[in-house]
Amino acid sequence: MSVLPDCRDMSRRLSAERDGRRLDWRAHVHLWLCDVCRRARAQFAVLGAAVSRLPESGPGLSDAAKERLRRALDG
Amino acid sequence: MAPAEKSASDPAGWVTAYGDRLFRYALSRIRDERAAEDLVQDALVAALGARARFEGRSTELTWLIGILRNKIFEHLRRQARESTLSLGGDGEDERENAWFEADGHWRGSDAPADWGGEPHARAESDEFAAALRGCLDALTPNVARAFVLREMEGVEHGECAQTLGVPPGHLAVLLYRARMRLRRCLEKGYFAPEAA
Ligand SMILES: [Zn+2]
Repeated sequence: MSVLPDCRDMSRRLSAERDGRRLDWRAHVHLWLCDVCRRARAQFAVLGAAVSRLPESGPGLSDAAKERLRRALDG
Repeated sequence: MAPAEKSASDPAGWVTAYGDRLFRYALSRIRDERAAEDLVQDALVAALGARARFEGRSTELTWLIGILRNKIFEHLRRQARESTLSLGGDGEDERENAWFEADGHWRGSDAPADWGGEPHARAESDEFAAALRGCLDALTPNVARAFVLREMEGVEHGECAQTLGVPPGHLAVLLYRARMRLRRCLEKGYFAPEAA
């Protein structure tokens, strides 16, 4: 196992993978052997997907804020 | 009235038609209601001035979101400039080390747990969105800014580093912290209660 990255190193590589850096073969072997890191990888993906959908829900503008905006566009 | 198929609609209707959508867009990215309102206002005022340049190639909402997005980037850039850029010194390194044993293995209670059957499907619920928002709010601001630009806006790594005024390696650390903390926060606050 010593030739392979440890889980701490893997967690960093999995984050970098989300930013476009490909995993090397050692990282793939680690993933194959380590179900916890496989979970971390899946969870990073869930996070990324969920956060890009976030704007579609949540509270809207208050009536007071809308009034302020209308005045700003009027003036 | 002239035929209006290629020009922007009457700005008097913008707030009613798009206000909530624009506000949610801004709020989800900067998580500060007052600042989000201000950015929506800046964007709408800018759009008012640029109305003649709207060519109808996109929908009006898409056009407005594009303007708002630039305002959000400016805001994040400004905030990043004003904040301290040190990576350590606030106990962050210790927190990071606490996720792992000395031998590099995940530490028991911090190891990623099973999120159950279909985490992607469960992540589409309103409850999950609320939990995620809470977890984003709990991030330190520079970590949150990095994550928003990169994962929410899909800004490429190098451009993201440039916008935030940090070296790419520093950005990688910020993004790593964001993902690790959000993962843990959601696991404790959202996935765990239903875990067996
Ligand atoms: Zn591992």
